[in-house]
Formats: sequence, C-alpha cells, structure tokens
Amino acid sequence: MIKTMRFTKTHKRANEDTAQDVLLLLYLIDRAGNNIFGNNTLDAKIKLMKLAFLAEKEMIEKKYKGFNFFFNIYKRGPSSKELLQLLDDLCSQNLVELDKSNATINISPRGRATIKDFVESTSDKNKEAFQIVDSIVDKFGKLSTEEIIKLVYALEMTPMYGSGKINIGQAVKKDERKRLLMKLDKKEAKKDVFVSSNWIETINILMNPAFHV
Amino acid sequence: MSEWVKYYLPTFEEDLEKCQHIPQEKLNKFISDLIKNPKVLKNAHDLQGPLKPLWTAHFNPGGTTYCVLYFICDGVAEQCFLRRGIEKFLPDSENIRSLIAHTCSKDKKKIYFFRFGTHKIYNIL
Repeated sequence: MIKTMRFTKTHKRANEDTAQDVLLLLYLIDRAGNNIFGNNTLDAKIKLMKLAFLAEKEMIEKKYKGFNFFFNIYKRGPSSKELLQLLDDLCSQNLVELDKSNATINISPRGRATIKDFVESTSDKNKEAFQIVDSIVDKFGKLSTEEIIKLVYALEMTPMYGSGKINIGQAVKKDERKRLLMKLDKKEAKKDVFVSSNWIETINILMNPAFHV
Repeated sequence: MSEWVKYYLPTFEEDLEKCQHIPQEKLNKFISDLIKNPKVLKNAHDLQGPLKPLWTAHFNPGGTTYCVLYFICDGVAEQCFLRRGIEKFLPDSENIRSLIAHTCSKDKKKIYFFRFGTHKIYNIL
C-alpha cells in the first residue's frame, strides 16, 4: 500500500531560495570534483543528496539559511524530491553533466563559470556557507554511497518543527515518513547566503528553458 | 555627445512577432527609456557568470511582464561581447554575424536586443 505523505509544516519557495539552492548545489558539485559517482546513476544521485542533506543539516543547526530543500525520510534515508528535480533541470540547462555510462555527476564548463564568478564576488559575505560545504565534502566526499548511508543512519536528530530526537536508521526501518529538514524561516535565521538581485535574475535566465539561447 | 543605436537581433524580432498584442507605443516608450538610461532603468540587471556581458530589463505593458535581454556596447573594446564570445549564446551565429559586426566606439554607443520573452521566474515547487 502506498503511504500518503502529510506534513503540517510546509514552505513556499521564493526566487531567492531557488537561487541559493542552485548556487550552493553547483558549489558542492564543483567542490566534490569527480567524487560524485556510484554503481549506477541513482546511486550517484543518492550520494549527492546525502552530502547536501549533511550540509543543510549543519547550516540549519547554526541557524544559517543556505540550502532550502525539503528532506523527508524515504526508503534510503533522508531524500529530497526538490533536489532531484533541480538536478534534472541543472542537467537539461547544461550546468551539470550526468554521465550515465560512468554513473558520475560533474559540473559543466558553463556551471563552473557560474560558480567561479559567484564565489569570487561573494566569498567575503558567504565564507561560512562555503566552509560548511567544504567541511562536508572533505569529511564524506570520498566515501561510497553505502558508507555515507551507513553514517547517516547512525545519526540522531530532532526533525525541524518536531519534538524529540529520532534515530534515522530506526525511522527508515519502521517506515516512519518524517520530514527532517526544510527551509529555515528568515525570521529564525541568524544569517543567510547572500544572493544579489543580479544573481537572482542570472539564475532565472540560466535555469529557464525559455531563455535557452 | 554619444549617439545610441539600437539593433534588433533575430530572437528579438521573432518574439515580437509572437507578441503582437503588445501596444507598439508602449514598447517604443520602453525602448526609448532603456536607450536613454540602459543601466539605471527600473529593474535593469547586469547578469553574472557566463551571462556577464548581458543585461535584462522588465517590460510590463499591462498584465504580463516581459524580459528583454540586451547588450550595451559603450566603446570599451575589452568589455565588448565580441571579445567575450557572446555569439555562442545566439542560435544562428553565421546569420547574425553581419548584424553584430561593429567597431567599438565611445562616440557611437549601441544596444543590441537579444531576446524578448515572457518573464517567468524559475521555480521548482
């Protein structure tokens, strides 16, 4: 029987949130180099999702608004359909390359030009967010998908807007479909990733198929 | 005194054909405002990263907002789109090469209009 997902807490995505997610995900993929791979493309996508989950979790614990993805517990641990959708769009807009024969996810030259300029123009303001992603990639980037999943399953955390700690592995085993992470409300955030209106517009053009020139 | 010259590139012309319901006088007014002050027009954005030489401005003739993608040649050859390889972004480089060929000159500034499409903020929910 298909389990219906119902969550009391939800969020609405603003243009700034999407720009933050696109730019941080490009940064993560670029920073991971050739290490986002798996036995198949799904495996590689799962590895990317777990790295993003760990980075978002750390940002939220520090009250830093960076990644804004919903992460729910599914069959293979914390996963985000939003992230998967965004990844597909990054590939179709030629910002990220998904090599199906080698099951690898890499940044494209166009994606690299984007993130290089963003880092250069905002490194002073967004230093902490980049450092969080760096530390996650350094710690977990070279592990296999299965190794990361094992580490994530051992984590205990309190779901956002939830009460009481849960063990992620136990929640997967019991098929408890919990929402672990979502966008941090601006009012609750101590800091957020700075994305200027020029960058929001740039992401709008780069990601919009109507402007694929 | 600099003279501004406007060029419609094929993408812009094609989109204009699709948007024939736009009142011509409103479009003319928007374009003349843009030419007067291309960098400080309301909602003008200088794009970043791989789109860096391009600008956008939003045009709302009533109801729907359109996005105009444009390039300004203000005579600084080092910053010109020809040096930055902007031809890569155009659908038919061969055909438009004669349109975009020019000599950078501070006395003869040019605005190239690339694309005129409905402005739709990308969203993934």
